Order: sequence, then C-alpha cells, then structure tokens
Amino acid sequence: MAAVPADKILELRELIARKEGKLSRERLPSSTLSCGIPKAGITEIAGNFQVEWVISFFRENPALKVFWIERGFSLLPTALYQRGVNPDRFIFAEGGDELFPCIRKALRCQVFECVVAPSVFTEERVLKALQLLSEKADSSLLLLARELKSSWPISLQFEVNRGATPKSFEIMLKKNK
Amino acid sequence: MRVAALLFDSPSSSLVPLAEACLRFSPQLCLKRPGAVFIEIGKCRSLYREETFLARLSVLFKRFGLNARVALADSLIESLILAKYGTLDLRRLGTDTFVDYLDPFLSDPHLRKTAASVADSLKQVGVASVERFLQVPASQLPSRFGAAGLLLRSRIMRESEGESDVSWPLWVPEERVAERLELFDGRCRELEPLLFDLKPVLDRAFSRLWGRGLRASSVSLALSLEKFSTVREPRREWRFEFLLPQATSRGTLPILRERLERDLARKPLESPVLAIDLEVLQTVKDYQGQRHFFHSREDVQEAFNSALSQLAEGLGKERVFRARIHEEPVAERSWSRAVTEQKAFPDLADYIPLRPTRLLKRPEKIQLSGEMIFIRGRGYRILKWSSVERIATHWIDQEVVRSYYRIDLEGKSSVWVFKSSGDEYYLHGYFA
Repeated sequence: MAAVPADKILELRELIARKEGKLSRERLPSSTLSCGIPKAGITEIAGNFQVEWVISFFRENPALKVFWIERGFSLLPTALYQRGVNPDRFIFAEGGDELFPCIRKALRCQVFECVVAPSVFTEERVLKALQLLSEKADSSLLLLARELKSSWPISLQFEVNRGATPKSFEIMLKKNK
Repeated sequence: MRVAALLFDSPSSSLVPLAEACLRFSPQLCLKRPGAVFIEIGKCRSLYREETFLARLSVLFKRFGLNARVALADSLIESLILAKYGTLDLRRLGTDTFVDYLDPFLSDPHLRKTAASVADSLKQVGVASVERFLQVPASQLPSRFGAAGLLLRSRIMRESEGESDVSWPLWVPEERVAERLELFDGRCRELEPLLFDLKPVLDRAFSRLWGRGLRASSVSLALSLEKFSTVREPRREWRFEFLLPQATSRGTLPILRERLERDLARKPLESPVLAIDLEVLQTVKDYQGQRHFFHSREDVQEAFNSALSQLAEGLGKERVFRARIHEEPVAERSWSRAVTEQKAFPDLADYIPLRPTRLLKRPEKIQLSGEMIFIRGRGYRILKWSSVERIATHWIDQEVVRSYYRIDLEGKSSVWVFKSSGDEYYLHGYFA
C-alpha cells in the first residue's frame, strides 16, 4: 500500500472535524492553505518562502490590522506594497531584546487582528502566555521560524518553499490542531 | 432661537470646564450669570435632537460631578425662568420673576433693586402674578414705577411674543486646560488606585478638548504626596509627549499607565497621593468632530493610534513606526519611517521591478565561482540568473551605480545581489 503524506492526513482530519462541527477556532482564509490560519492562536511558519507567503496571505485578507515586529528590522515595506498590500494597515516595530513584552503589549491593545514576530521563544511557559493573550485578543500570532519545533501551545505549523512556478508555494503541513 | 439654561444651585469653579465641554453642542454659550450656563442650540437642530442633547448633558454632569436644573425654551430669559420656576405660565409666575426679566445676568445691582421695589409695591396693592401686572395700563406705569416699570412690561410682552431683546454676551474659553482632583482618603498609593482616580481627571480634560475640537499632543501629570518627614520628593511630575495626538481618555490612559508602571516600580510613591494635577501642554486641531453614523472607522483609527503611541512609549519613538513608500529605485531609500498614514502612494508598477522581502542593513560581499555563489563562506548552487536591473543615481543624491540580479539558488531563498562599479558582488536582500 502506498504511503499517504502526513499533510493529506491532517487535511482529511480537518475536513472530518469540520463536517462534524468540532472545529471551535475561527480561521482566516488562505487560497494556498486549505485549513486557513487560526484566528486566536499561534501559527509557526518556516521555509525559505515564508515572508512571501505571509504577504500573499495579507493580500487575501485586506481588512486585517497587523503588528509586525522584528529584532532588527530587515523587512522591506516597499516589497509589501509592490505585492498589493497596503502598508498603512501595518505598524512595524524593532523590538531588539524586548520582543516578548512588545508582543504582549500589542496583543493587550486588542487592536491588531494579526501579529507577526520571529519565532525565538523556546520556553513553553512563554508560548503558553502568548497563546492565552492571542486568544483573549482574538488575534492571530504568526511566528516566523528557521525550523519548526515541537511545542504544544502552537496550533498550526507548516513549511513554505518556492513552488514549481515563480508565484506558487509548496506547503508542507506539520501540525494542525 | 432655542436656548438651554443650566441652572446650578451655587456658583462653582467647575462651571467653566463644563461650559468648555459644552462647546461640543454649540459655539454660542453664555456664562455671564453666576451659577448658570446658557447654550444656544437652535442652529444645531439638524445635528442632534433635544432628547440626545439632554442625554449627553447628563453624562457631562456626571463626569464633572455637577447637578443642575435644565430647561429648554425659545429665548434666554424664558429658559432661565423655566429652569428656575418650572413654568412659563404668566398666571402662575409671581412678581419675584421681575428680577430675572430685568437683569437676567445679575450684573446690575440698581436694576435688581428697582425690580424688587416694583414687586413690593405691586404686592401691597394685591398684584401677585405677572399676568395681573400686565393688566395695569401702560400709561400708568411710568408715573408709578418710573422707566423700569415700562421696560419690565415691554420685556415681558416681547418675551411672550417670542421677540427677545436681550443681547448674547461673548464668552471665550480659557486658554489653559488644567484639571485637579483632590483626594482625602489616603488610599491612593499604588498604581491601580491611582489610575482609577486619574481616569475621571482625563475624562474631564478630554471633554474640554473635544468641545473645542482639539487633541492633546503633550500633557503633564503631577502628584502631590502627603508631606511626611520621611518623604523626600513630595511632588512627582511627568511630562508625556504623545507620538500621535490623543483625543480620548481610553486611548491615553494605557500610555500613562505604561510610563507610571515603569517609574513607580523603580521608585514607588513614598506617601499617599493628596492631589492629581493634569495639564494639557500642547494641542492640535482635531477635524473629526462628528462621528460617522454608519461605521466605526474613526473609533478603530483612534484605537490604532493609541496602540501606536502606547508601544512607542515602551519601546521608544524611533522603534515603532509606519512605512512611507517613495518612488525611488534605490531599495534602501524606497521607504522611510513615519508616524502618520500615507495619503497617496506612488505608482511603482512598470517602473521599479519587484523588490526582495528582506533587505540587509549593509550589503555583504559575496564570491561567485562558476555555478556557485558563496555567502558567508557557504556555497550554494545557482539555478537561474534574472536579467540585469541597472540603478544609477545622480551624484548630488550620493551617487549609486549598481547592477542588480535576482539569483535563484538550490535549497535556499532567492537572493538579490548587485555588482558594484568595482566589479565586486554584494548580497543586498532575500526573496524569502
């Protein structure tokens, strides 16, 4: 019997859960990720095309107010604009070593529907705190990681690489709960 | 004309701040009579209903801790009489109303004395109501009461016919917006009770600013502490410069909390707070006077601006920002940090090729060898080179001459490299 890819199994599980009405978390839609992004939870994204995917996700969700924080700011906002995303709905921050307090503040404001940050948190306690904050703020926290790690507070994990065509993505779902 | 008279039991220092907050209803206010505020709302009929006005007014009374009798009528004197005596029926109004007819602003003691003597004289001959007074023939009034009697009659007649002849005195609000709250219970020593007491102070200050159509861009806060012998600093002061001007206490309180939390953790209050002083130091014009009826975009924007200011208070103004896009081929100059929204965006389509998502702060020197590229000493196989994009700027804007390429690599994000005028290759960004 041929092996079924893990992401297909996860997708089927998702479909069954949806049919049974068991999905409690609201999801933000994405044309390239059928399960969408959990609205009040943590999503970890890895891969060498992660920022491109995040930008395409924001293009598909034009109403989202976003807080984008980085340790040292290297994102090029011109790239956002060139890819059809309005930079006015973003607030950017250079957090340095104060990433966690800044994310906490941004989530507590309850203004941002989405927060993007680097995935530098290794402690479960910190991730749990972020998960609770994002649930309370009804905000989606996207963590951009070099490599996906095992951590139970993270709801969704996937890797994005460049697809066969220039503007397509190859997505490998690792975890979806 | 439609006038609201707010009649307070006693003249209070809170009347001026309340009147400033009432500027939201109408620019035509009168504070000449002690213990009363008159608001002309007739010209604002299309903006709000009288019921809405009264409801909003009651919120303001609560905010300023005041209580007043309110009456709406077609002239200043009628509104005053309605608020004071509860009726405009001339049969029920007594001769004691003459003072209000003759001197509604209580500014002329001579007129008041005359009104009182007219009322006394009439009482002696059994005339107790305004209606009975009007039955006295006009020709007999000058001989009995002098010119004041004739003036009184003519004013009552004009008022009842809806033709008021009382001129509206000019009132200009104070330049300075300052609020003070005195605390006597000695419970305010920690941050949370302090913020609890600070909220109504902010509410009052912002109501006054809102009435004038202003936003606060800078405020000062001072706490007066109980002067025990152990207290080294009996007055603590803070100055807040907001990244974006604030219009509500809801948006400002988290910013103040941010700073106070940090400062009071480092240096706690040494004794209970006796008074809170808040002064608005700088203001800017706020053009969003009226809220939109069908959507809450203003509220969302307000919350967004407040969040930006709050984050800037914690991180520093230069580290929290919005992006402003420029029509500029040199990538590092194609955007700048800004605080406010960008009203018009440049059209970059067909002019500037797609830029990388990540840009290095300083370009890094790389080596190329055949089909391999070496980044930080590590080699990657090149899959594809894009066509060249030449960027050459004028010497006056710090001359840049570069030839850019997008290179697709095996197992890695595409990179954005350029060849300098000295034939050296530099990594400048990633299409990550």
